[in-house]
Amino acid sequence: MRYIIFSLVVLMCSGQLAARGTYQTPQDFLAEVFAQQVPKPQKLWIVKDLKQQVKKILGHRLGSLRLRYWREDQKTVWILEEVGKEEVITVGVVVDDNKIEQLKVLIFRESRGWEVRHAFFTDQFKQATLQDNLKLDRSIDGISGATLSVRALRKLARLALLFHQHVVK
Amino acid sequence: MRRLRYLHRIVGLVSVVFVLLLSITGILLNHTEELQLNKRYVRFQPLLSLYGVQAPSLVSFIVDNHRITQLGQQVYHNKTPLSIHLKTQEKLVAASVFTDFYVIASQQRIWLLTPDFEVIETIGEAQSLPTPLLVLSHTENHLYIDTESGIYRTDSDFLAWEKVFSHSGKWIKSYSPNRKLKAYLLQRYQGDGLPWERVLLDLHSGRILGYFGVLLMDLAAILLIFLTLTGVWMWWRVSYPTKYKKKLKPKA
Repeated sequence: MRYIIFSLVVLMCSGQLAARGTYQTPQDFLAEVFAQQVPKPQKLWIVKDLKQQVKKILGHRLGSLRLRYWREDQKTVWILEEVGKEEVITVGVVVDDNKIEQLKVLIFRESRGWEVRHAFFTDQFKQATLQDNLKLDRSIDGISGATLSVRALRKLARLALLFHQHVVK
Repeated sequence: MRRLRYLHRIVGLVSVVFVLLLSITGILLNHTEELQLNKRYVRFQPLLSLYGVQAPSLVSFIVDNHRITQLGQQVYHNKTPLSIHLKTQEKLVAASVFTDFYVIASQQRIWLLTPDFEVIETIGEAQSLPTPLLVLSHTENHLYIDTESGIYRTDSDFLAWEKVFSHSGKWIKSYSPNRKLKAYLLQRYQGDGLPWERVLLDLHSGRILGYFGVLLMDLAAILLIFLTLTGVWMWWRVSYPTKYKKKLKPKA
């Protein structure tokens, strides 16, 4: 019995550790999105009104004045980061025609909440758009035990749509 | 009865320390705001050491006439903390001026800053920065980083990193900060680290001694419960002796 409990604990711990890490490098994500023809990155300056809007979405300042993004016609790709509970979650967001085409967790560093990387969760963002009040046009179902990670991903989705609107005017 | 009284006395004597400790810390904690205990910081080194607040090593770089210094996870521009927070094991490897930017680099990230030291951009893993960085150097048009996987260079756009075979320029070195700055930063680091409220809370709960302290306080609580119950029992015995005796008296 003792061995079974010990094995279960080890399995649970190893599962959590395995859940942390790089699922896909940003470079690989970009290569996948642009079919190996990754365009040169461009820069978006976060100033004036945009700065305020970003603060409204994140609840805090972005922490930088400039962001890089990749663009091909009406499609933009954003590699964004936000803290879940304690660590930064790196997410890749593809926006096309003001709608989210794909949202993918690339690097997850938290010890909990890794369930947000699964497609059953990230698929909810597909085709989501940004309303005038800077909220998504749909509700995203949470995952129990991953509330903060879910919240971080919702914010990043809204940010990507906001940034897309600014660069594709 | 006599044995109980003896035990009550011994437990009472043992509990004196706990009662005093709990009472004094409790009173102080009740008046945290008035006494501003959350804003007063511990400067007593042995107590700081008990909490693991050790003075971390300082890494400093001279940029123009400015000092960029890492102390723990905080980076300072002279005496002002910057909005750059390093991870636990992250260390600064360089700071310099490149084109129009101030550049601060750790093993994992590069920060570009305005002349007012506002962060323009953080370049890291997500921006394809080759890591871990060992040292940094620059010419007029290019910035070079030496990493475990080789030397890379970028231009003022910082958009792409090109691997190069060698770089003959000077690599940036760290300097030890002057004594005045070092003393100021260390005091700031340690002084702001541990408020008295935290120490009192930990004394009150016993957590200052770790899990053993918590168990000790549990024991103190049990002793106080024991004292209360035995005290009431003995009082009742003394106050109502007849009733008690009647009850105990065997029926004829």
